[in-house]
Amino acid sequence: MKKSYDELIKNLQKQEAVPSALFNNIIFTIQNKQAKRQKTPSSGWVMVLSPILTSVLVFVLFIGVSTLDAKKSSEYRDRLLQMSDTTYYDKYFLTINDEFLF
Amino acid sequence: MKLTEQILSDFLVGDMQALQKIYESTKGFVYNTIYKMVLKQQEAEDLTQDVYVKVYEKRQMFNREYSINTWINRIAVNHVINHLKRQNNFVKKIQEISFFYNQKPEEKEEQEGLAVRLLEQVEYKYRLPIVLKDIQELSYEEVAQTMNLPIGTVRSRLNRGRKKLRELYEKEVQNEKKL
Repeated sequence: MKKSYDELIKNLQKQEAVPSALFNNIIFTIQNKQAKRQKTPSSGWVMVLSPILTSVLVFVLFIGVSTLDAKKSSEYRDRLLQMSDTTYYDKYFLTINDEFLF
Repeated sequence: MKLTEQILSDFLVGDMQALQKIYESTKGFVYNTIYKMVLKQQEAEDLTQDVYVKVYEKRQMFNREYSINTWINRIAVNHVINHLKRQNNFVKKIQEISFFYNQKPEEKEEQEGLAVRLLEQVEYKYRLPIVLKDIQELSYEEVAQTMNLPIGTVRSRLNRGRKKLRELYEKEVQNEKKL
């Protein structure tokens, strides 16, 4: 049986010829990949910068909304204070009523 | 062709001519190892192409303390094993989802011979040491380096593979006698 195994292996040891066009295909694939990378040179930077830019944008939006909100709140507070002033309230109320009635 | 230090240095900076020299020096071994593993010419060509593209793209990872042949062989072996794993999974999935799937993925041509048919039936885990040690005639150390396994494991897998191949051969001979 040892002999038959050796014979089997001998059959398998026959070396196949490497196709001649194979190296051209390899070069073509490498160059193709390089060209694709050159077409989008910023893709690497975009990958790095996009999370940073997104964070900055979110931060700016947050600050903006907070400032507006604070401004509105203070305006509203002033308005309430003014409303609580009786003189102003009467005046305002009457003005409104006048406008409403006549 | 002997690969000089200059060729390796040129290759590391991306020189295509250096890549061609390395390819010329190693293509026979790489192609035949892959071919003996997948046993299909077109597949072997595609995988060999992928291996050299990978070799070029990953050239910065090559450690000059080691032989470039071993490094390329290791890339080839890993690539072909991943391919066979994926293929096995694919075939299993196809068989799972299709009740009427009774055909083999690809019928072998008769001329490929008994040896090839039998080798194909050996699980790739055991087929690889047979291909590297018995067919490509590497030393145990080289096989171990290429497969990234201890020599003891290589020896045991090789013995199992040989045993399996012998059993398959015996079965084939008995079947022929019956006929």
